[in-house]
Amino acid sequence: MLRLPPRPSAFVAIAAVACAWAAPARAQDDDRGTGAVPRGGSGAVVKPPPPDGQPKKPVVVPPKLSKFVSAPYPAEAQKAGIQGDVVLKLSIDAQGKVTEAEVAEPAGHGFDDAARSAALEFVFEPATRDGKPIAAKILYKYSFTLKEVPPTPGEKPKPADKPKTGNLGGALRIAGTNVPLAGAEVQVTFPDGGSRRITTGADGSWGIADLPPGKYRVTLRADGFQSQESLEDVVAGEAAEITYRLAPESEGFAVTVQGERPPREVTRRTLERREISRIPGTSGDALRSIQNLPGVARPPGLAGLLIVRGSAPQDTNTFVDGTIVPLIYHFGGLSSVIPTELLDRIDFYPGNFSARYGRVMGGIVDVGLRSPDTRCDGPYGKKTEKTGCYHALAQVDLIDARVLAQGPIGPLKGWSFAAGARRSWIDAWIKPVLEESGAGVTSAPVYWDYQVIAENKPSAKSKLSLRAYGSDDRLEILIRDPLAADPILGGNITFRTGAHRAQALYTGELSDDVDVSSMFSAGKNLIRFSLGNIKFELDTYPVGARTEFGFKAARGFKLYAGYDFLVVPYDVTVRAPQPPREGEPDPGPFAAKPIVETQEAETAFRPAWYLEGEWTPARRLRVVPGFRVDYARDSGQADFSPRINGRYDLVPSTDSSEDEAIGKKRLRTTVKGGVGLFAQPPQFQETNPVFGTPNLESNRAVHYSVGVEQELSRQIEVSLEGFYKDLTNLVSRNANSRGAFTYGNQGTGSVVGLETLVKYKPDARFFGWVAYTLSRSVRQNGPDDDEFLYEFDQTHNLIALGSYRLGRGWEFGSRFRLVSGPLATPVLKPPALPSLYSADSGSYAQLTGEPNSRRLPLFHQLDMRVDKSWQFKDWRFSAYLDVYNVYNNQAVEGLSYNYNYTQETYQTGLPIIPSLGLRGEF
Amino acid sequence: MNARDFALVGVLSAIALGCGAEFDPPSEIKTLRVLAVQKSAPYAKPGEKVDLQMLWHDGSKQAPRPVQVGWFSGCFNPPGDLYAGCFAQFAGAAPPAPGGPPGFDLGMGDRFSFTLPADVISSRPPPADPKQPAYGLSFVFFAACAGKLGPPPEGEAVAFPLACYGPDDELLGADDFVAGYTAVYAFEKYRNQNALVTGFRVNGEDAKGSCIDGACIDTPLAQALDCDTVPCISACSDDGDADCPEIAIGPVIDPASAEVDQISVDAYGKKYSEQMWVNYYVDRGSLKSELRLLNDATAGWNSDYGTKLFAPKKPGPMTVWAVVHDNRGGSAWVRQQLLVQ
Repeated sequence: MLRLPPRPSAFVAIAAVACAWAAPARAQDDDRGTGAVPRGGSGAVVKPPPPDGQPKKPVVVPPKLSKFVSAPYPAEAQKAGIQGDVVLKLSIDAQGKVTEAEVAEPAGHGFDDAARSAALEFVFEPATRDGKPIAAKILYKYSFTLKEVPPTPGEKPKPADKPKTGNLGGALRIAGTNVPLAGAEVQVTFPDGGSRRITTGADGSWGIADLPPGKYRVTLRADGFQSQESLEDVVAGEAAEITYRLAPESEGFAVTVQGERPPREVTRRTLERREISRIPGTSGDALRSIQNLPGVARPPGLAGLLIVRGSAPQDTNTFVDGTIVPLIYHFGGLSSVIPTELLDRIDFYPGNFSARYGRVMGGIVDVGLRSPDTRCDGPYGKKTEKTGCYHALAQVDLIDARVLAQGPIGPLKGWSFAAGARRSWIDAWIKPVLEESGAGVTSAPVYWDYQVIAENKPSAKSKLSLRAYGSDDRLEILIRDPLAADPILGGNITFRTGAHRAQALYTGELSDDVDVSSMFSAGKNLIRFSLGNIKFELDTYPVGARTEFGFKAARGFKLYAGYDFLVVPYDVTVRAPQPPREGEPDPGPFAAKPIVETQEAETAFRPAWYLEGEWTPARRLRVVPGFRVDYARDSGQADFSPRINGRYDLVPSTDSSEDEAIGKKRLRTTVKGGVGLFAQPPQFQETNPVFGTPNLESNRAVHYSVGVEQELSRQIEVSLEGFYKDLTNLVSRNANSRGAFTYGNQGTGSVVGLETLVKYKPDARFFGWVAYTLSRSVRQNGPDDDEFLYEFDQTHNLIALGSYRLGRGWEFGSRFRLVSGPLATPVLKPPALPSLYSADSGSYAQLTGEPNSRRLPLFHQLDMRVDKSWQFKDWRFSAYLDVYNVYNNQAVEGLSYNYNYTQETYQTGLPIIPSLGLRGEF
Repeated sequence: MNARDFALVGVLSAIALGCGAEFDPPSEIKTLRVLAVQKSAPYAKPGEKVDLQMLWHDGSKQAPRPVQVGWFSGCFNPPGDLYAGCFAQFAGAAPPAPGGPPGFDLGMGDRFSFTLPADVISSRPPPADPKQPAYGLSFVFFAACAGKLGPPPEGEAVAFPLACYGPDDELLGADDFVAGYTAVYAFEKYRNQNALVTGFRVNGEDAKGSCIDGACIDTPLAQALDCDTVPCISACSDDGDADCPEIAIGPVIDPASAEVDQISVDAYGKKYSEQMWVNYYVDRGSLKSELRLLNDATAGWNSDYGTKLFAPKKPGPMTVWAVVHDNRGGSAWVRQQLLVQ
């Protein structure tokens, strides 16, 4: 026989975000809190601590259930042995009366109506703000659970004794995630002063049963994470289930890289700050960590190129909080122009990205700057809830020196700041090296960058952030020994790049159902390059504006509408021979080519509008249809780009400790997919009247993807995603009827691939993953031309990495990569001549065969890293040894020929490089 | 030093020093080589006759041996201004000439002349940028063969329409067969002069016995040398190794050779000068730098354009060539014989 369980345990409240009407719950919000999660009352509240640097918040006390009404178990469900959870959205007025009960997550089988009817009769102690009763909305989960009772004919149920003890337990997670924290120590101090220590299980759970009622102090400790204390009530007959979240220790700041897509892009993978800073071979560079994700090809050497799903680097745009930045690395790959310490997150979209992004057909990287940190540290780096403190960091190494300071802005209440700056001093030691080689050094290589952030959070749901950031790289060298292969590549080399931005961001809510995020930026980019009589000078003054409104149009449906404007006045001077495109015959040395010069001062105007819906008809299903309209005044093209993404949880994840407490442990299985059209305007030189052909149309790509995600355990997840990109209307150069080469949109191509990721989510000891990408990228310049492998094609890309905490501040990590070799275009073999002598330059022009028809040997490399940190009372010191290419593999990066291309050898990559880093901070 | 340091050093070293070569330097002549082609008018006028002459040397162990030099012209304004576009033009030319490439002018010997069509400029579309002067372009192809020139074997995928055959009609490769091209630009009002080379210096002193431009073609290398007719240098037991004493050598060049690029002045108001460099070659010994900057378009004249010679071990005559190029098709050269003692 089946019967209902006792009422008090028949429900479990989850994620009931008790807020004032002005700040209603948003289940889809990303909880990035790094502090503790205080326990709420019954039906209660999971909220991170107040963000830093915001004004003192009003004290909001959630509503507390004072009268519970039991719902009848639906007969049909009871007969069928079905259990169910109904999540209700309750509106509670200032008197504690439930005025509205809306089914947020239905369970069917009659559960929804039963739960709703019962909930309308609940009575609460009303929520209060600063002691004053207010109306509130909460999410409330009403669980219908069947309990089997041994059939004893004739025996009447024995009334339960009144309980005299309670239980205390819950789950421990990593802050900002749902990742369980296993092996952590939980110390429970009893009211009488005694204590008991237990360790969290593999799923992060812990618990102590049969505790006398009273107040208990819970202390949580995990190696590498900030300790936390909390005072909890144990009530007789109740099981207090609390989810705590521990933040990683202060090793800089929290940064997350969100691989694939955030919710509107179906999928999200998250890399923790610890992962980013510990991946061997990356020197802790956050942007370079993206190159370890599936779908991203290995660039040569240490180049900072992002080659996403077989697309060219220029097909992927990089943004800083929505503002496009043209240069993300100093000198093309030395280090990110935004230091890792100032990053909050990196959103990476390898394809099928949201309609909020456009103008490219590859991928998107959107870097978010962090909010200034004003939290106060206790002794030995222990984080406290107190705010209003200053932090600083100084780091010096052989390349550069950097400083970073952050804290409150004294006289401006609610405002906080972060300011950082960095300057290289390689010029001090590299100048003599270059001069010794015979070069004349006018300006040795030097770079610097700066970042200033001022931020105010007028409310929990709104933020105003003002930023200024920029970078500058420059060098000037006189090369007196030009390259023999092309003598024009010598002489006076000048190189300077710079990017400067002022940016304002605002996010907030206009009403309960409408939120807004807006960005405005203005600045200057400059690129100056000259080599002998070749010159490229580009000054741009980009002004960007983005605004997005989110409307809760109906239950389970949210509509996003936004615009994305880009106005770019520019002034460009180009003096150069016209370079060939891939697949064209080698033009011979530049020295023999006529120099073409063009000057142009214009304004590019590229407005875009988009509309996107986020439809969640059921808890397990999410569909995101949308479209985007782009216009490019420079090319005169308007592009309409419809897109749709979707994901469905075949088996939903166990998403709360409460679920676990009632025995629901599920391993999530999700299927996902998307299709969309992406347009990319032609590049400058392609539409320039001198170098290209005006009035070209946009390149187009249709992205298809389908995949599945499967949790193998709470720590291990496998994802598999197949993708296909159909490329049409590609700009290519072909001979026209008059014999001259012109650009046109005759090019086509495709990319097909499969991405696999097996990931062990970070716990107290270990993180790691194995990523494998199989892909093929081809192009065709015209319908009558042969198809060829694209230069960025990389058939196999296997990355295995992991890092293990040994204890006492030691950590060891390793990364191994096995990747298809790069492509090369071979020269002709005998009896054909491999080259022709170009008499005007005195060098040779190679005669090439099929483009990219030769695959060079497999790349493989092992990198290792050891970290050690020391935490002192008032500051922290850390050191690392990062060894790049441990077994000194001579990886082949290209081919090198003798003067007339009759002999060849491999160009090899970087040798073993040990890298030592030291850092102090408080 | 961390990864970024190495990357920076690598990038800059590659720019400044050039990639480490594991091959024989191109300055050391050990095979049949074409060293330069000089045009009487690097920038010509439509309808103008242009004379070309070739400087070549056979450094092969089989030398001296007969070397056949052939020329052909007739490619005007190819697609994309690419020399490779000429091959399609030639392939479409009719009728094919018996025994040679089809449809164009042929010549044999160290010198060749051809005349630019009168419509070489007007027959092509005007430049997209109205500031730029209209121009015409002609490519002249040549080949030096240590055997006999002929059409390529049938059925073979070769880009160049000539091949070189040995005494037994065997196909000769790149060590015995050099094919190449030079471009002649035509403007209505712009000219470019070849550099003015006036002599050669060894260790800072004017050298005797040098020849310049066409004189080197007309004057074969002297086999009997003494220190009264050419500079003498000491042999080096390390045979051209960098440990040998450095002997400063270089051509004497009139700085007026660095002309102003008048097109830049007229079209854009910018006074760039020509980019110029010197290629050095030796038949024995070795050079510290085989290519030196002579004039930079913006930085100007580089007076330090000479190089250093490392003498060979074996006594006897040796030869040094210095070929001066500008980036507008101009070239000039000087040949200097030395006696190694």
